[in-house]
Amino acid sequence: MGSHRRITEAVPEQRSEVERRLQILIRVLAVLGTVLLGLAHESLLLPIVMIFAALTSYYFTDCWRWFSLNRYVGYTVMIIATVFSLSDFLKFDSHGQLEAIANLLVYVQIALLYQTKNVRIYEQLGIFCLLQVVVAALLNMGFLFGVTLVFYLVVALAALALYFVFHETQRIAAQRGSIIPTHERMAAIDLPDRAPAWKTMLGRRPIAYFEMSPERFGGLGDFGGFSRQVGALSLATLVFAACFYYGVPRYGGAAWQELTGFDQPTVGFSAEPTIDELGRVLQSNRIVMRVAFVDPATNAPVRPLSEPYLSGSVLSEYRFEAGAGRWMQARAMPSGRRLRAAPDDRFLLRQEITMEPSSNELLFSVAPRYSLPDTPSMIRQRPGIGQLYLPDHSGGSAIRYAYALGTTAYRHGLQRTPIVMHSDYGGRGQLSEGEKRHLTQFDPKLHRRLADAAEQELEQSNTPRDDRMQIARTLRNHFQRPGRYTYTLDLTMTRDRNIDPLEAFVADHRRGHCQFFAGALVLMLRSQGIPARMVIGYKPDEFNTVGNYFVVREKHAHAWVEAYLEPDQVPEGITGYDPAGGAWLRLDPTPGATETGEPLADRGSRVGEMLDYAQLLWNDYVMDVGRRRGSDVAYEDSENDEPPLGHAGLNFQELIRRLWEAVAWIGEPGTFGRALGWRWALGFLLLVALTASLLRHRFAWWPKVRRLLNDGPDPARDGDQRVEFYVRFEQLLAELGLHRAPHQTAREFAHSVRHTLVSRAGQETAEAAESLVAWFYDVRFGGRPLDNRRHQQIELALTAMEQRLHPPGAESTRWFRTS
Amino acid sequence: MVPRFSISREGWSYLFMIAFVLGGAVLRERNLLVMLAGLMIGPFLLNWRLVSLAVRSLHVERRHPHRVCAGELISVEVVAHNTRRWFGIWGTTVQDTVRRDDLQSTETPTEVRVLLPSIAAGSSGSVSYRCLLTRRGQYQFGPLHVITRYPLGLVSARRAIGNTSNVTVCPRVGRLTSRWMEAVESERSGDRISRPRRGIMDGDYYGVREWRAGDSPRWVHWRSTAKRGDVMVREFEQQRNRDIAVLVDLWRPAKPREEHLGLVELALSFAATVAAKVCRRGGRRLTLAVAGHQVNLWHMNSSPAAAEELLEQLAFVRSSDQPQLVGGVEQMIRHLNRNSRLILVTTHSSRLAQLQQLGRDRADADTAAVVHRAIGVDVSQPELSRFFRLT
Repeated sequence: MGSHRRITEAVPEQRSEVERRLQILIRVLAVLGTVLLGLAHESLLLPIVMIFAALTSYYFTDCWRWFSLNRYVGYTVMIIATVFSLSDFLKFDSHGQLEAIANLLVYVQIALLYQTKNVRIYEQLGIFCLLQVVVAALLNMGFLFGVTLVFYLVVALAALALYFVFHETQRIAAQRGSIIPTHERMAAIDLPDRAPAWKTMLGRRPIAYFEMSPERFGGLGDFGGFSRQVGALSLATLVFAACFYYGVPRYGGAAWQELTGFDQPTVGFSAEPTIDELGRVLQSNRIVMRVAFVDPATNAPVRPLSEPYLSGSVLSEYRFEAGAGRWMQARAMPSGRRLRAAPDDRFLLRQEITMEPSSNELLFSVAPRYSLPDTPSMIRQRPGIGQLYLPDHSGGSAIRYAYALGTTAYRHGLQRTPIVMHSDYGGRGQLSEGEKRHLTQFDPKLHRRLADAAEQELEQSNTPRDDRMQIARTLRNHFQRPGRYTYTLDLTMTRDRNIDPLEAFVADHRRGHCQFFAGALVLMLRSQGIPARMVIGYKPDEFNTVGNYFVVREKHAHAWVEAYLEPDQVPEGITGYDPAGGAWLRLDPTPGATETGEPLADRGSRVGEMLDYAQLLWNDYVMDVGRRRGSDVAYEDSENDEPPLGHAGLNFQELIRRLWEAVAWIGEPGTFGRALGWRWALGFLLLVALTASLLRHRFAWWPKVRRLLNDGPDPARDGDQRVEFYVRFEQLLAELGLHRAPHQTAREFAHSVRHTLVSRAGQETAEAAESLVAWFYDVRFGGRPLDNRRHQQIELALTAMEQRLHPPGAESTRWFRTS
Repeated sequence: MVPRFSISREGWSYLFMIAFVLGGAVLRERNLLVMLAGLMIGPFLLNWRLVSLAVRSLHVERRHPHRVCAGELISVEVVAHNTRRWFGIWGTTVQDTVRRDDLQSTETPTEVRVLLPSIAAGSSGSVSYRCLLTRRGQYQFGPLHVITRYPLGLVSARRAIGNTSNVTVCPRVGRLTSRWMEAVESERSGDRISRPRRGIMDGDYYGVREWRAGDSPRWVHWRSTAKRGDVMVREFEQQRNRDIAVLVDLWRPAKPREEHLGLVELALSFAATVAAKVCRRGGRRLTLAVAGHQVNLWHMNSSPAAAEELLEQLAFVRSSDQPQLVGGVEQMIRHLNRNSRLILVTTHSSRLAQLQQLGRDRADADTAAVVHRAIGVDVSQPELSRFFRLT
């Protein structure tokens, strides 16, 4: 059909409202995607870079059009970014590789943001944004990821809807250009004068085309309605996604959400941590576990008044090699046994522990610990040592464990006398001679000054040498005496590598962290012939009042000492007291510490507590769906045929109970500061009311503000000289009570008043009105100047309208006439 | 009509991404990817549901004039009403089809898509498209198709609405030049003296005026003459108007080329223009005979309404390689009188003499002179542009 000519005037050249909003939303999307990645990286650099790029590209490239990247320059930038990221990709492990891909996606998006936008660029940006979320989902598991994802969803749906409207407009505009074949158009409309007359009859196919008015097709119309529908769509999507998430079957065993190479490293310390390792762990803020105490009789949460000692690894053997000292577990460890059943004790508490993925078999709990009906049967305790562990832990497949144990450590919220019967650790009677020998190993040559210090301390305090408890406490006090030792994580002090670090700690620098103190005390006790060992665990001081649990972080790692008491030295009144059995006395030599735990201070911020509780719920009810957690793994081998849990943690009654607790907590005095709860609630209600009020009156002020900010005054409404005749026209109709609504275009207005005009002044008047509107469009949007002839026609039409609408003698004020 | 669904290009890309995410979720056993997949599948299914809802909620109709002249640009208004109370629809496309309503036509239908940017809940929206119908005849509009991908553009729904309508396209009406008018006028002037004026019954009484040379004594109004003391004559309004008769020969070869078809249309267009001109002035009788596939003859008093009707009838006449000339001339002769002006219009120069001869053969004494004075118009000649222009 011949060549095709594009009718360019039909395509709006200026940015429409739809495109402007789309450009904003696509940038918000890119920023949110980068924030998701930033959450995974725990870095703000990429989000800041993206925010900068989004802002500058919006103003410089899209608004002011000062510069834009040429398409090929853009590709070149992307290739350079790819090469740059590839070098990172080749360096790292799979986690690092994913991070390299994430960075590449950010770079590519930045390159696209600085290009002139069209449908292709928007599409590419959308795809890269989505890929960004996919990568972020592989790197991130936090609750904030979920929250950000909800925002991301809303923005993404709004952007997609706007993109659809924009794309549809562009598509129809492009069709407008291609629908009129040139020669047909010429034959039908533009035939030259000298052409044979019969050629004018050559038109064959009907020609039909749609002419878009930029004024009308650039806008969204009812933006409020559009926003509401996007909101409803987002809500429906969330509901669907929740149903899909919980309804979709999961196969493949215990691996769902299992840590892989893509994940963050596991938390905690190894079973035999070195001094340096523990020093590093003590500087980390990552969460290791959450521990809640519950009264098994009432199932009510219990808030301890002091910090609990969560024991883990028990180290009894010390070696000094290659200039470094290291505590290790006993070489001949007895195989584990099941825990004893909980005694019938009214002070029995249930400790519920949820451990984050760890790389070793260790489990943690407050001693003494007992088995409860729902305690996983696979949990084992090494007899006499009291170390808990999970036998089949592979070490490489770290997953989150949840288990419950009983304990009688608390009396009215306070830890009782820190003595645990040897039998409660699974031991029988008292320590064997062999065990005693092992636990009193001491090298007087290597630790001569340390032994001297112990001896000196005991002599100075006149401690009776037959009272082991007294000796132990005296030696512990040696470290806690103010000004003598300094607790520090800075281990950069110079020391002679030929001297044992613990010897140097006591005799020389006297600076170190808890492992130094505990190690030195163990050796001091052994120098006095008292069996002693080091226990490494956690001593958290952060209690979440929303969820009623302790948040245990790596920085809460702690080392303390257990000294063995012969049966005759064990005080009575201890749970499970056995007159013929020995016991273990907990000693905490770290300055400022007490064996019963320091009183809990109100340390955590309320918002932080809520976030952490949300994270806990997120873990329990979202992340762990379909995955067998530690408890399930433990149940697997249960001899009691306990039922499998199915979706681990997916107990909705429990969820409702927890949410109710959180709601109740909000109303408690002191939630956001002492006795400020109701004020906060009132403030919140006022805020909601204010927001609702603003939304209600939004349409009254927003269009004006928007016009002032973006569009400037509307010439048609403000009486621009070029459309003076249209102003007259509207005034003429206004006298008849016909006013143009704010949302109406001039053409729609003329269309809406047509019937009125026909009925009042006849068909010709209505046609004159339509002609006036057509001329108005020519002038206002077509930019065509008015020549004399058109002026005369306009004047004639206006006069005719005036005469017909206001016949002579009719009473009306002609105030609108201009000279 | 049941909507038809299809997945858009963006939808396929989206599905591919869903498959990618789901694959990653299964292979890597990642719960967050399962969640992401749910968040992606949801909008896709909701889009499918909403486009279905949207196309069912829209009532669409078309408004346009039912008669136009060929070459006139008409505006077709598409009005859509959203019956939903809470569901606004954005970016709705309505596709319309325009085709000649002619079984013999091999023309490809023309499709046009219009965009309704937004239709608020419970309200109507309208847009217009322009349509240029270049050939005479009957055109059919429709059926309409409502197409929407709202809100996300991933799934498209298309519903046919059995809404068809017709437009009659009349011959194009052009413009007679001043030369044509002069030709007609000069011939009238030369004939003025010899031509007998109409009697009193031939026209309506208009008034009286002073006597001029050549006025018939029978026209003298004696009462006024007596009162004024000067000779006054009666004046009749239509005494200068003549009846116009147009005979159109719609000949074309058995295997016509575009040129021949164009000449047929041109002949009809010329005849329609003359007829429209006569009717616009009024006060005459118009006889139009078209000899084509069959003979069509219209005899009427001139008036705008008559012109409208005549133009509409002309939309359907058909040419022929053997036009019914004899019948056409015979029927035409019957409506001629001495006062008639006969215009013979043909598509080929060789047929003009034949046409005139046929008229002479069948004319009686009264009409022979009329046939003799007939004006012949051969539309194939370039001289036509001196008398008639289409633009």
